[in-house]
Order: sequence, then C-alpha cells, then structure tokens
Amino acid sequence: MVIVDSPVSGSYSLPMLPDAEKILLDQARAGHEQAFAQLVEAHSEKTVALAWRLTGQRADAEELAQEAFLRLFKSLATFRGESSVGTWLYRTTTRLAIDHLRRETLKRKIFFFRGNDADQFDPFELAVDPSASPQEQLLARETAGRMQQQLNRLPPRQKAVFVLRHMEGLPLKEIAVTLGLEEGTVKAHLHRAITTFRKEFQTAKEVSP
Amino acid sequence: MNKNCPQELLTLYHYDELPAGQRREFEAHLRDCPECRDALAELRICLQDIPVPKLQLDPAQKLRFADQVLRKTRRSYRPLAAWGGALAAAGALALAVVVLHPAGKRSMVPARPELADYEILEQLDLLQELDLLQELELLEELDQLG
Repeated sequence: MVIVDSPVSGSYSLPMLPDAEKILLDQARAGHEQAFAQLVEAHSEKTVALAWRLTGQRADAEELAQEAFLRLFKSLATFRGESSVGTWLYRTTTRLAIDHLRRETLKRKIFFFRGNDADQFDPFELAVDPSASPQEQLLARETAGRMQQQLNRLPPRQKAVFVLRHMEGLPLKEIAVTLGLEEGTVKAHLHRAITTFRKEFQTAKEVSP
Repeated sequence: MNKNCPQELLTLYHYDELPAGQRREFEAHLRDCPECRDALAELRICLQDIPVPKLQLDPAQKLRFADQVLRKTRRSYRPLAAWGGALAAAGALALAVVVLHPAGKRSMVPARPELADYEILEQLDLLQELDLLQELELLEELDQLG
C-alpha cells in the first residue's frame, strides 16, 4: 500500500501548530522517542475516532490507529511534510480500515459465519432527545440501532465514503484523493449508501406503530 | 419524487456538493416538485437517525496509547537487530572454523607455484616420450616392410 503525503486542502483541524509539528518531526527523525510520543498523543483522539467510525469496533479501532502511527514512524525518514501529519494519518487509517473490513467480510464468507450483526459491532452512544416521551425515546433508539446495523453492512468502500462525508465532513474531492478514486465514483458510492439508508428508514417507518 | 427526478442530485444537494449553477437549477426544481421537497425532508430525518460515535480520550488514555505505540516501534526494530546479530555470529563462527581447524588450514594453504609447475612439466615430458615411442614403432614397421 503506497501512501503519498501530497497536500490536500484540509478540513482536518490541526491538533497542534504546524511549526510545533515540524520541530517534533525533526526531533523524532533524530531519534528522540519522546518527540514522537508527543505527536502520537496529539493525534491519537482523532485517529482512533476515525478508525472506530469506520470499523464499528473500538478494540479494532485502537489496533488500526496504532498501526497507522507505526507506519508513520517507519516513514519518518521519507516523510516530506507536504501534507500535515494529521492528513497523512487520515489517509493511512482510512485505507487500513478498508483493508480490515474487506478481510473481515472475506473471513465471514469463507467460514460461512452468519452471526448477528448487532453482536459484531459496539453499539454507539445514542444522543436521544431528552425532552421526548419514553416511548419516542425507545423508538428513536430502535431506529438508530437499525441504521447502525445498516451502516455496518455497507461494502467497505461505500462505508468509508459515507463515514468520511457524513461523519467527518470531508468534501467529496478530498475523499477522492484520500481513497485514490475518481470523484464521480465517490459520488456514486455516497448515493448508493444513502439509498440503502432511505430504504431502511422507510421499512422502519412501516414496521413501527 | 417521481422516476424522472434526479435522485443523485438530492444527495449531493443535501451535502452541498453541487456546483453553483447546478445548485440553482435544482433549487428551481425543488420549488416546483413537492415530491422532491418531501424526499429531501425525509432524507434529513433519516440521516439524523444514524448514530455518530464520539470519542474523548483523557490525558491518561492518550499517554497509555502513545506508550503502546512506542512499544510497537521498539519491537519493530528488534527483528532487524536480531538478524544482524545472528549474521555477525555466524560469520565469526565460520571464520573461526576456517582459521583454526587443521583440515581447513590444509585446504586453505595455497599450493607452491614451483611444485605445480614441476608436475605440469613432468606430464609434458611423458607426452614427449609417448611421441617418441610412437615414432619408434613407425620406424620398426617401415623396416619390416623393407
């Protein structure tokens, strides 16, 4: 897997000032372990959160985020700094997550594993309107649960496009660069994901009293 | 929303991904199409129902995470160091065997050049003698023929 650190006009908010980041990068290249640790601390929250949204599992997310940082460490000597560390990590984590999801899908196919989707993914904390009635809150939780299951059933690339656009707020152009796809392909992936959600939403409406 | 309505544009409009001109055209379409307006409203409600995991790591968790990464970076160098050490040890052992072992010593001592030359000369002499013998045999045969 080749990760290029070419510049991208970023919606990725920087957790540290570019100058401070550059100094830490130089120190890490010179072998200062603590400088690299500082970089990891600064980017850990965003990287783990992204991996969690993409994989749906917190434990896998931490593993993937650690792998992304390990790759950054190994690329320190060749890291040109044309993109920020955050953007580089963003791309690497997304690609690692897609590979991870593909492997998981394949594993399930090979071993004919048909477990309950709800058991395979951590339930996200749901923000339910506290002013709603208990019945409405229950209904909202049920719908959210169904949508989450639907999200986890999306094909890996489609899911990545949806997560990056809907949850991370990344423009489609940047998603295309991140995933190495044509913008038109990214648009098609997003639309297919949205169609899936709309169908599920309509089914949920028909089922609920 | 009927079959002729541009469904993909609805998605792109919601995410503000339409170029200005196309956006204006779609807004004009929305004004005239109550089905598309309903579809857009429903899409917005539907997307609100998708849970977004929020993560907050406290300083201690960040420190623990960084520590785990550092441990992995140290481990990633260990196999290389181990291979390097093993190769160096193997090289030293091979050198010791060659230098110290008597058989090794013998095989490594170069043959003296003058001795080698002498052996070649001996073989050449034998060849010359063989030629002489052949010539003698020919002479004897000629004698017999008269």
